[in-house]
Amino acid sequence: MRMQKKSWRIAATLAAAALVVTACGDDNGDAEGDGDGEGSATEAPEFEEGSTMAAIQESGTLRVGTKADQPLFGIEGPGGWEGFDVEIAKLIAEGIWGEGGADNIEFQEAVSAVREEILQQDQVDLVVATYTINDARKELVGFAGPYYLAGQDIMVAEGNPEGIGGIDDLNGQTVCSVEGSTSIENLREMAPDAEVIALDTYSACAEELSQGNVTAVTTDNVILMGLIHERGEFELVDNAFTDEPYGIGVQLEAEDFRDWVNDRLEEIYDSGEWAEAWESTAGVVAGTPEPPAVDRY
Amino acid sequence: MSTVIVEELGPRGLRRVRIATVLSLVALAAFVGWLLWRLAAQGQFEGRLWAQFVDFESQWPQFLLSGLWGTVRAAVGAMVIAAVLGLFLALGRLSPTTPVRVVCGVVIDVFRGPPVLLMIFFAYYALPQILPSGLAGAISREPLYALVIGLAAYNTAVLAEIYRAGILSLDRGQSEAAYSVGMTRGLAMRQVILPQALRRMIPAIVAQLATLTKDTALGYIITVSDDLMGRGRRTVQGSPINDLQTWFVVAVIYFILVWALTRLARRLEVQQRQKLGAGAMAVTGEAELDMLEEGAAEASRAEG
Amino acid sequence: MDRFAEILSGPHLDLLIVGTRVTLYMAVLSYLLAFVMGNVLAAARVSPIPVLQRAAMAYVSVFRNTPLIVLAFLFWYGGGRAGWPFGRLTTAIIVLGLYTGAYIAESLRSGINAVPPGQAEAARAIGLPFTGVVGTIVLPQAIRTVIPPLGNLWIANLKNSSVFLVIGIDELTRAGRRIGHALADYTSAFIVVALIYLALVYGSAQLIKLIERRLEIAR
Repeated sequence: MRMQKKSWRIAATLAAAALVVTACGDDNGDAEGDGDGEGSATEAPEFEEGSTMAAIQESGTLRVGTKADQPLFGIEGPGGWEGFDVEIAKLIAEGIWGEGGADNIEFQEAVSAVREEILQQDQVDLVVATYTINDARKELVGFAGPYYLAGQDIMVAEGNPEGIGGIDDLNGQTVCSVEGSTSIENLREMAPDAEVIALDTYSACAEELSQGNVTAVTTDNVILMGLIHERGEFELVDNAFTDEPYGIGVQLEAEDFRDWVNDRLEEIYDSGEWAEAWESTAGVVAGTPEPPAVDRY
Repeated sequence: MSTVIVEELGPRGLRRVRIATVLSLVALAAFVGWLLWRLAAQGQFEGRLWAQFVDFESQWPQFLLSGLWGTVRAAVGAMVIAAVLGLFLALGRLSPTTPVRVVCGVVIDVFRGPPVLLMIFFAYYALPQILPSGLAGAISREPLYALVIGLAAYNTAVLAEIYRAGILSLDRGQSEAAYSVGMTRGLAMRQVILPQALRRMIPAIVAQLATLTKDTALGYIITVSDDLMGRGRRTVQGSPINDLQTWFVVAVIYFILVWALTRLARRLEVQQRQKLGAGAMAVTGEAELDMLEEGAAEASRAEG
Repeated sequence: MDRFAEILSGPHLDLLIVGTRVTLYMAVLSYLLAFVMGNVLAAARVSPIPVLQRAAMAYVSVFRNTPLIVLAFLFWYGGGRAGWPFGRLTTAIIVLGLYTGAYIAESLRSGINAVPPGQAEAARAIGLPFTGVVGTIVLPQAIRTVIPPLGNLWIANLKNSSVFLVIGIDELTRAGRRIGHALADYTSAFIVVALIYLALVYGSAQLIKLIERRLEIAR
């Protein structure tokens, strides 16, 4: 009798332990990975009084600006907000509230033109919106990261019939890009013998490629990946020839927040959550890159 | 229909007409058939490409209604602004004070001369660089404003010319009678001339509204997303790849809308003829409506 | 003022020249096509064959009530899916010509109706067939009557060419946008482009007046 009771208690304790472990291990469904199955933040940390993070934690809401029409990175669909940028925002929220922190995010669309404005006017706490870091912008907002190195790349028809390997191969080809973009300027500069077709939207360029009117489309690989994902008849040359570091925009004065986000980024780099976020979103069309080193300035 | 070009047809004539009819029918049918066959060969009639447009549950309400509403809003908005401002401009153009007249004339030519797309571009790209940041931000964020501003600017000048033609076409007896009972120019204009002229120009204004509605489609180029073209663009960006189907449906919707407006203009014009008889402005078909606008331009140029 | 000098020099000037050239090229060729289409349609409209009448009416209705940009997409992207064989610029010229052709058809039709019936009667009296009556006697007179509207349609056609920048045509308005972006000053660029258009429109108007005067004398 005593033996059975003891083994009962052991069994019960083991069962309880097992329950706890599984409950902790299964958070947002995208945290299955290489043994680091648990999220790196399981409970809400304590923040210093008066810090931005404490204020956000107390308010119960993290306001995030992101793209709503950039497939694989920031897109608002019937099932909610999805994409790599969205996942990064969620991981940051988990850093504030621990598990389930992602539920405290309030997303809003941040089109390119207003990304500085919404931070300056305190409409959002964070901007994760395919936001390239540059010096001009650093005067208006703070940047944590970069969390991804985008770059201009080339998209061709499936099978790459013309054998395009890089920007130089575009000379003598017909290439499409969007009028007024940095991409088209780079194209004209780096491939001066290319015949340039300038249209107004990337999907129009994609249509031209699909119909064989042009050999290639060039712009940021992020946009190209989205096009490939949507249309499935193209491939990425995957040889980026410019550097567009994507950063997380925070308000200019919130230096503590910026430092903390950088810390959090390094955390998720190490824990493999960054790679998981990539694989579940943009990773479906492109290989997983190495996370870039954050730039603390 | 001019019947004098061909006389009453005798038996030989009738036979020739019948042969010609059959030949024409065959030629047309062959052309259309070939076209449809080519499209079918490319799989353009596959169900999945058209599915979105027949799914009345989900896509139609959002696609059709909200897109159409955006287009109507832009057209009406621009029209209202243009109708009001155009009137002032027209009166200025008719002013006895030479500098006012000349300046208004220049304004009309400058705003009417370039393509309407250029005016829209000016509103979308250039205005944000000129205006104070508050307004500028509003325009950058919502391209619909730029569309309406550009369209309004262009159509203000167009309507000004239409108004002027209407006022000038009014029987001189009207204004003379008004002056003879002691009315000042302003009073005569407000009480006698304008009411009559404006009523007569309603068909021409409605016809211009039809053209304006077509021009709202140019908003696509400045990424307007709330109107019919914007919806078309979203549909095309998603999958499956149904460019042809989408733009065809968009074309049909525009066609119905514009055609209805044009019909309305013509019916109004016929009503006017019936009411006013010989006094009505000679505005018969669309050709005349165009010619009216051009005639007004002619008159202005002739006057110099 | 420096800005304008900057625009009117070097690479920017080249863009403007190319743009103007493309615009004029498109305008001329499309107008020729439109004129031919217009004549054919007008003839069909007044012919005794109901099928042709209806077909012409349908054509005119479709092309006048649909926005030009949508037609451009239908023919270029839609047509592309159906094996449309023509290149970008050619397609633009064709679509523009078909569009303006519908307007010319209506103008010509009212012009035909304005020709005194006696003309047609006399033509038939001397034995001309329908084609002769219309082609030799009626249409030429009709055209003369509607020179002003035809002239204005030329101007409208010229301005409508700007729409085709959406399918990548390097015409004048696009050149203006590109220069504006390069200089980060759209205002100056567009003012220059507007002036060029105004010059083209004014020049056209003068030319039309000249033609009218010539034809008056010929009468």
